[in-house]
Amino acid sequence: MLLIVSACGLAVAPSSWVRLSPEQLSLAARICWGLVALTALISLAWTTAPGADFVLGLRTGAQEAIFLFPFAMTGLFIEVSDDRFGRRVTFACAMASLGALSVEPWLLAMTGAGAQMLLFSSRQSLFGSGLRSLLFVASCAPGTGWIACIPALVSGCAAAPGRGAFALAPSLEMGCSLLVLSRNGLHTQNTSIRQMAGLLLVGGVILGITRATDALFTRRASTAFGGIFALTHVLAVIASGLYLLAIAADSPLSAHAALSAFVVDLICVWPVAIALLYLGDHVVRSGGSDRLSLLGGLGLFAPRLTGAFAVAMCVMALLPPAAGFSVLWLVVTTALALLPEGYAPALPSITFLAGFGVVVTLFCLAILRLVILVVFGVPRSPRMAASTDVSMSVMQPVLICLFISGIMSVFPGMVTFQATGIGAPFHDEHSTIVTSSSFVTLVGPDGLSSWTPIAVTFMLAAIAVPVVLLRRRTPRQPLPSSLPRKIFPDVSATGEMPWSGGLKWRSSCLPFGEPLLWPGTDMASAILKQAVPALPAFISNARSYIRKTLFLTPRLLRFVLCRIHTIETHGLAVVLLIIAAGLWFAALRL
Amino acid sequence: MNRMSFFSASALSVIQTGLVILVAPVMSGFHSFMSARFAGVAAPPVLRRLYLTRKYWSELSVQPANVDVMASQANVIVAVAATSGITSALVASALVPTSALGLATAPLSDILTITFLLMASYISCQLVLLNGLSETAANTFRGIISVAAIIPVIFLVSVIFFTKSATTNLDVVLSSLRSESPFGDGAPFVLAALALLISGSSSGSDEIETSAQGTDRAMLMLACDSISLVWLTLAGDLLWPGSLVVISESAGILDSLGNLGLGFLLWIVRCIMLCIVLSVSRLIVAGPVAVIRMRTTAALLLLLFAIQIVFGSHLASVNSLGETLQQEISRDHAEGKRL
Repeated sequence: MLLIVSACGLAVAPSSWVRLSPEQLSLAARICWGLVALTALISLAWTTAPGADFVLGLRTGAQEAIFLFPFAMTGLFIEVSDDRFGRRVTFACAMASLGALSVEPWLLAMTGAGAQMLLFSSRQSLFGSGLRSLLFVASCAPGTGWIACIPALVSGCAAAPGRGAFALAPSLEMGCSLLVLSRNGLHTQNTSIRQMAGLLLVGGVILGITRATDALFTRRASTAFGGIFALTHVLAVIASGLYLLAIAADSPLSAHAALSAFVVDLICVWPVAIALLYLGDHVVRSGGSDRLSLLGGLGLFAPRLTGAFAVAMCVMALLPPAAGFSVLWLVVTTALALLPEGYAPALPSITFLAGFGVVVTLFCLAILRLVILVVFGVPRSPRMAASTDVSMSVMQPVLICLFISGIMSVFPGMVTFQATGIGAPFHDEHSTIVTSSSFVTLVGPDGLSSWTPIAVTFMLAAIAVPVVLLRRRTPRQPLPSSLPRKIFPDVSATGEMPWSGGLKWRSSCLPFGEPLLWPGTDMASAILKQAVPALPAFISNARSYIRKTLFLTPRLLRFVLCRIHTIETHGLAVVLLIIAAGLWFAALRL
Repeated sequence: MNRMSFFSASALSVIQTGLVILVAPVMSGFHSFMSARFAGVAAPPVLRRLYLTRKYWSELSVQPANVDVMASQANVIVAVAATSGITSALVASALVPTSALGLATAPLSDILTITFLLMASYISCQLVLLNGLSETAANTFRGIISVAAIIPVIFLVSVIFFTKSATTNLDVVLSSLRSESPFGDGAPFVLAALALLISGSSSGSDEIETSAQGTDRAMLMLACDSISLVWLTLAGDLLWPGSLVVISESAGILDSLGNLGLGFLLWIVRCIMLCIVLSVSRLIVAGPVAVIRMRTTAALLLLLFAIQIVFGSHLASVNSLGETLQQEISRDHAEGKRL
């Protein structure tokens, strides 16, 4: 807590007070956040310890540390020296961290809502952000199992990254919603727990398809990065749903596997996703535009940024042996272990697995499309050719995140061992069975399936080393340092076009314009629309379908709709506010 | 597993990987040969692929001068893609049993791990083309969409695995399937094998070869061939698990060596038969988009049918068990009355 306060203090303090330059201030704040994250990791080791209670309802235990870690890693990426927005996000991060440590519901509501309010970035999105905050507050009341599921789904659907420090906003908002879901949703004693699990599973799959489709078809880089970040949130929501389903089915091993997926996602994959948001902001800054059609060829100009971007994308693509695959494996084996007997009862589970497969497929394609459009080819705009690589100080938090994720993904048992901390009330009797698994091997709920990342990593290394040694290549000839680096060697630089090495362009002389030399932003969407017959009709004609449906409704209904439309957003906001307050009071009474 | 059997299992894993490296270009050449023969065009020699791989392996990978940044970037992508592609493909090949069960890698041979490794290898190999011009990149992305549709198929295959053997470990499932008839209880796995064959057997494009040079080119060719061979092996294992040998069941060294030789021979025969089936299926003339639709739809329908059969047979076995129990109870009652 002292470290969190110190980080906030360093963010607020003017440089004249502490006699440090802005870069040194930023570094000091990062060190504080790094120590907070380290403390969270160390306190995760004591799962059996009750945790120390502080004043104001704060507590440090394994359950609190699981959420403190991602919030502290988010703080690690904030550049305090940037602008005043960096300080706002630092405060939001500190409030979210206090929310992770809080035990009392009122404190959780206050800190979480405060963190979300500090992240309000624009007036255009004020209404939606305020509504999400209200939903969060309403779900903080104890015993609100159902309502706790709604903020998780809503924030996953709506949270989008901004510019600068606000690029990290989805991490805090989605993290807060997952926090309240784990406090009130997963520990509920509600009788309708199976329905809650169904809501989370169906909502998670729909949320995943929505965000993946959004990332796949968008023309904005920030939207694509935000959509890919949502994959971690989708995995956490689905793991929560599976946990509730396992509790309803009275299967402690499956519950432990689902919780393991939840914890591995938060500890190993979430920091990499935050690094991806951070790198995405730097890609947009480096390219000078948020439009994907104006980026491209990043590998030519920013090899350091491209390397980190590619590694983060490999983790997010859920391919082995990275941590993302561990989460995927745990989710699938848990869903299989919960498969009921008989075809008809098992049909929803089979449909869920197929839907989850579609989600993973769409996210893989979205990641690949983003890599093609940002990294490959040549720059599509002269501005991109003037982009510069990031410095090592920018890369430090990314490298820390990738290192931690790498270590944790090789030893997943270190993380899944902590899963008993969250779900301890439900499987005390089976804790000896649960905690007897190896540190390097993930064992499925069935007891026969296993996934050992370190063995596959070792096999990959054992084959890769001789392959690299055997690869015969001509020796690289070092260039003299005085020779400037040329992008297009056959074009000489002129005074008119200095930015892209003198690249000359002319107006089109062809009747249908110049041929497209590099894949455009609509490549993925065009191919998918061709391949899936339902997509063109659904996407391009959706508006006309809605209009047609509205015209076919009875006249009275149309009249009422027109009247409602005149109330406009303020009236609707009041109505929603009243509903949220009603939910809050109803939850308190329950 | 005692020390001797562990060493033999490890040695068998290494031998199997080496055999995959040797057989993969030959099988790919045979596939091209059969496809050409069925299509009625001039067929390339079967050993052409092996000869080319060996020839390119001995050549130098061209490292362009640093003045051309575009060529330098393409070279870096080719090097990374070739290394990661061949590595992932060979690790996947070490996890799939070709001729014998009980390998040293048996605990790792999870169906999800194998298929995701194969997919990672395929995407790595295609990175070279994705860095190309518009038409090539669009065609490649279309192929990746076709292969990415395999993920739901894999999840449904794992449902069949789990329903039958309560695990997703390939070695355990194949061990339990060895005694079952492919027309009886093993029928769902035959359908699953066909679904895997349909959705996963996309051969490497010839454009990959032309976009790289030297050792990189040889590695990319070998990676593509290995991916195809591992898919064929996986489908063949599920089609005919009885042809796999269990090392621990052999009486002596000579016996086990003979069984292993027979297992490798049957593996080759299985792959040849499946190559012929794939070559025949290539006679269906359809556009690239129609091929994606057909492959995905056929794989999903086959799997749904397989799942229905699995649950039906499971239900039937439960019913027959119940009937047997009822008969035993009634017999006991009758005997009790008689006493």
